[in-house]
Amino acid sequence: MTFGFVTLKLLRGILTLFLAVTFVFLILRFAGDPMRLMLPDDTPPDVLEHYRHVYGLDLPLPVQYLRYLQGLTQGEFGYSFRDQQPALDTVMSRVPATLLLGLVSFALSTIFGMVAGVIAALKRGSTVDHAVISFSIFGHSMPSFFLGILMILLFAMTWRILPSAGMGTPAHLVMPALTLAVGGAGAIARFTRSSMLEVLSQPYIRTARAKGVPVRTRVLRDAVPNAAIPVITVLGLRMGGLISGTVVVETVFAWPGIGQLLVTAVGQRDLAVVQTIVILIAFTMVTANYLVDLAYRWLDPRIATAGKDAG
Amino acid sequence: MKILSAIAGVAFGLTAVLGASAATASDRPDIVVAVPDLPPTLEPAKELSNIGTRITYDIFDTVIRRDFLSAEDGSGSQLVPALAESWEWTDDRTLALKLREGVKFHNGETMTAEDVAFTFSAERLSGPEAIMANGRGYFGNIESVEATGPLEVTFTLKVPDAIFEQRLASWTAWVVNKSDWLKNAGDSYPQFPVGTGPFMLDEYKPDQSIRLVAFDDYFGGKPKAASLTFVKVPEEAARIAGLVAGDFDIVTTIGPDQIAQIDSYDNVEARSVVLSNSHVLVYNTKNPVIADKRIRQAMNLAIDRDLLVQALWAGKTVVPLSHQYKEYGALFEPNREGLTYDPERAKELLAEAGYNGETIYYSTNPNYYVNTVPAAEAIMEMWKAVGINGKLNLVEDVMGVPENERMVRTWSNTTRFPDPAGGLWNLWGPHQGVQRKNEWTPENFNVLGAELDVTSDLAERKVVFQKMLDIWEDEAPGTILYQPLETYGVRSSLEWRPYSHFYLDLRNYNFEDQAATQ
Amino acid sequence: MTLMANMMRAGNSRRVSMACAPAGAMASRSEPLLRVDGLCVGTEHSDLVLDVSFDLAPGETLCLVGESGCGKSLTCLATMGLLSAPVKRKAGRVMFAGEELSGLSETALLRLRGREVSMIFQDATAALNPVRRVGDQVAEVLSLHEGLTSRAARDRTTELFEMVGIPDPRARLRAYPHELSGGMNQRIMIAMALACKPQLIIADEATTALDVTTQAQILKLLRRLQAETGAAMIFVTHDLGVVAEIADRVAVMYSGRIVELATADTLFDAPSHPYTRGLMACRLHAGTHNTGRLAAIEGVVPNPTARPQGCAFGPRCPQVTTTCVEMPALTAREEGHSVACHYPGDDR
Repeated sequence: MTFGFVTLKLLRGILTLFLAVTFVFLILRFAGDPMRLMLPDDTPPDVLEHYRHVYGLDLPLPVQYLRYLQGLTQGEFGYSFRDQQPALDTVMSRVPATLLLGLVSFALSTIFGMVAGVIAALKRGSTVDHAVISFSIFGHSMPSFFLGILMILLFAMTWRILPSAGMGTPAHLVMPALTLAVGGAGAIARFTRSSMLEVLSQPYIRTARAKGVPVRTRVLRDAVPNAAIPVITVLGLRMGGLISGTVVVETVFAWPGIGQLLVTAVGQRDLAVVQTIVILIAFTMVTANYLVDLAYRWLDPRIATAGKDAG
Repeated sequence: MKILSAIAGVAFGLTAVLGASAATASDRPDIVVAVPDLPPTLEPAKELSNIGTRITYDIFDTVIRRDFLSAEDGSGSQLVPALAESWEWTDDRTLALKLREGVKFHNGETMTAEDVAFTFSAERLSGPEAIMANGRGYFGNIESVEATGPLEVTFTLKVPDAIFEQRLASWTAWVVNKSDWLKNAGDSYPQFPVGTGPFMLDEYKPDQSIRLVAFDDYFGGKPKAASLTFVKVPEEAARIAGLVAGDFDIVTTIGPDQIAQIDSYDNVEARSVVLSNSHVLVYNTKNPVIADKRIRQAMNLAIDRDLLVQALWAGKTVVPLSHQYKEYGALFEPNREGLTYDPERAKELLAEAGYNGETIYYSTNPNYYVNTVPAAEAIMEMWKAVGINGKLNLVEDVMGVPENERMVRTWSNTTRFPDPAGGLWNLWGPHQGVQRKNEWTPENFNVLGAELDVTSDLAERKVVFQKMLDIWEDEAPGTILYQPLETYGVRSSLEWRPYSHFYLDLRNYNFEDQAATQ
Repeated sequence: MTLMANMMRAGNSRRVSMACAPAGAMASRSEPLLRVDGLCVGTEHSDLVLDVSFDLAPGETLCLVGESGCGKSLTCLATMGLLSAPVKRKAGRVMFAGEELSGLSETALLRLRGREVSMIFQDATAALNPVRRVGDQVAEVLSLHEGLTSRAARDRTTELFEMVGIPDPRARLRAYPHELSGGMNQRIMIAMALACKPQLIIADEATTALDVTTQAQILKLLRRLQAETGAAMIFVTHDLGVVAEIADRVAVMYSGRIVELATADTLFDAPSHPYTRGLMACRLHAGTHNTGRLAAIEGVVPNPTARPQGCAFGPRCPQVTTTCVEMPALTAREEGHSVACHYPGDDR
């Protein structure tokens, strides 16, 4: 963890954010007039013009862009067309809901995926292994939209044991968190399994057995920490997608988070809100990448030393 | 720091929710309505979409009310007293309203003529600098509005307006509390102004739910529901599942293909209403390819609308008799031939016009109107059958296509008040989209329209209007496809009828919960 | 041939002086510590170790010699009960200190491994867990088998590190394998193997990956420690130079079988199997050292699924005759010297 490393990461992160902001700014500007979408069909043109002026949309594009960047440097993310609130407030007010859903499903998929992957690798070729592989393929190929609807039909409509939509009690969290976790758990299980198989054939596992270490300890102390290293990459990707990955599930389960806000805001060309969400998503990705690097260093002493040597 | 506060927010939210789940029981039911989206504000003149008005209609009242239930199909247009007990034209530009006494606002204040005058004031609604710029389209004709007594309001119009009372019963005409509105207006407009309606705002959770509670001082009587909660459920299947599971009492925006599914359950049912709205096509008469009106007439004659209704709407929606609706009352001509399907005549017209298979672009946003893509695809086939070479353009913004491809675009026509002035003349006249966008610039039509505006004799108005329809059909600047269907899923024990507008009215005359009264 | 063997053993007099009695004689006198009897190892479709039998007396060092793939390592792993699917023990017994290891459960074996019998692997850097500190890896054996507290285990590990000649042992406890040299890691493996003073050490190519200087140091260390602890040792190598350094007795393996079993002196003095003689010849060829392949003998070790009929060495044997299609039994040529050849010691 050297100064050079931190600076490089920071600069790279800022560059990523800047590119994301610029890209989204341009795409949104070229995708149509937000005022025509925001105002009713039969709005008189002078009213349209009035609102365009109010929001500065009548200015030349470069001026709008520079103004926006200038605002960003002062922590000013602009105002939502939809409800005139500061975009940052609107976005941040949805963060807790998404974070709750995202973190719970992240934890579920990580725990379940890793445990399943480890067991599958230990029982390679067994029924359990086949079950895990099948689940992994299922999780990978099942669109969360479809799985969500299926769950609603089963748990809410047929068995009536869970609320169909919305946020509130812990019971509300079950279906969206599971739906979100299934795909992730599948991917993590698959990665953990192959990583575990690789590790289990390594000489140091045989060494552990030769020195009389019982299976459980061997798996937990010797195999899993090594097998976890490549899995970290997958976990990092999933963590980076914590905010953006919930869009479909939030819509299906009426979960009032960032995902739903993004859908609404994109649909209505609520520029400031979309841009703020994109910055947030990019920020999450950058942060997740950074955390992955840290986790690598923590789990794999070889990388830490390499860094030390380079610094 | 943000993350920390976010986590704190989650924790706090969970605690609040768990604490609140022990709701208090009441003899009046708590009604939950699942909707695809919630409005960002409840300002009644701001949020004019279907998502906004279905809620604001229960919070606010108009001075004059349109009684939708005066017609069997929920499209009634009879005007009845509401906040105004009576009204009288002193001349053709001056209308005096006598307001009901003792009407309470949600904040406890008593409604006065000042509140009504302020609602329609130039400052808020009708003037060139109005904060609610949308209001001008409806009330731009107001020269002045004054409180001429504690309970008397007088409107003075710039020019005579035969349907001004309908306007007062319609969009942007919901009365707000002046002091509350001004206090909360600030830089912008208030998010949640105070109204006089049967329900008042209790809790607003963005993108989640809007909870209204009964306003027991409502002038129309104590509401029969203890609360009315609109819950955002974007996914249709989730709305239906929640209805069947008993989570929701009413769900809105159900596709026609789901009607049978809902009706297959015991305790819920689908209730549909044909909306005061038509899906239409607009033809750009200035585009050389379709500049010849015979080609446009052929395009119209080639469309088998009944087939569209059968195939896409399970036969439940209707094709109006041209751009006129029964709710127009005396202006409606039931003997019009309407929009006919005659492919042979279409072929003849194409031959006469010398149409040579030039590509006719048909632009639509695939996600905006229900069934827009299947309809477009069917129309492509119908056109092909008579020799029209149509090409479907799926775009985000139908006005954003290249100039030479701007030929056919999809649109919808909502009849905001039951009169051609709120329909054909409003939408296809010189002040709105088609003519403003220079797609159609008819002289005779505009002359007749101006005449319609100032003619108050019904028989004369009918003659003028029917002539306008003749021009519209002959010049074919577009066509009507059908009136879409709005379907609700409703708990069967709920006595409630949908309207031909999106308003979800739970006032006592349209609401009874059989399950609660038993 | 005799001359050659003598040349090889020159400068190795210390070992001779150390071995106070011929090891073979010692084995015959006392009850063996380890007895491998008729061991067969293989998969469902192949036989990798065939009918291997040998004894090992306490304190004795037996070298298993042969080319790569001849079954040396599998014999060791089978002895430890460390075979993993699909390879398994198909027949035979392993008796250790009067107990039949081959009949024990994995749980019972775990209690023996690392305490009574320990193993040192080839390429110590790979055989150590890359993400754990070497001190912890050694201390683990002590807490497992001797129930030491972590503090006591650490202190003992420091002593062990000192004993195996690791400089600055206390600091090295916290090192990771990749931070140490191969030789240093091999010392750590040895410390790990010796931690509980086992009666038997199995060293599988323990010095193969090391450079010559380090190799010599490690061998010296092993010999010293073996003398100090009195442990018996099976030492697997394909390097006769190493054999000469360390062995009391030698078992030469070829294609899954022991083809010659003799005391080190006998073997070097009078190698009787043509294959053994081939190995001796190779010893003199520069460049073949440590490669595990015999350039001096034409051909390669047969695939275990397609062994020739009779003597597996036949196709490569300079003395092969038609008799060799019959499998020669491992028969005693003299006391403590067995050979599996129809023409043992025949120098035609």
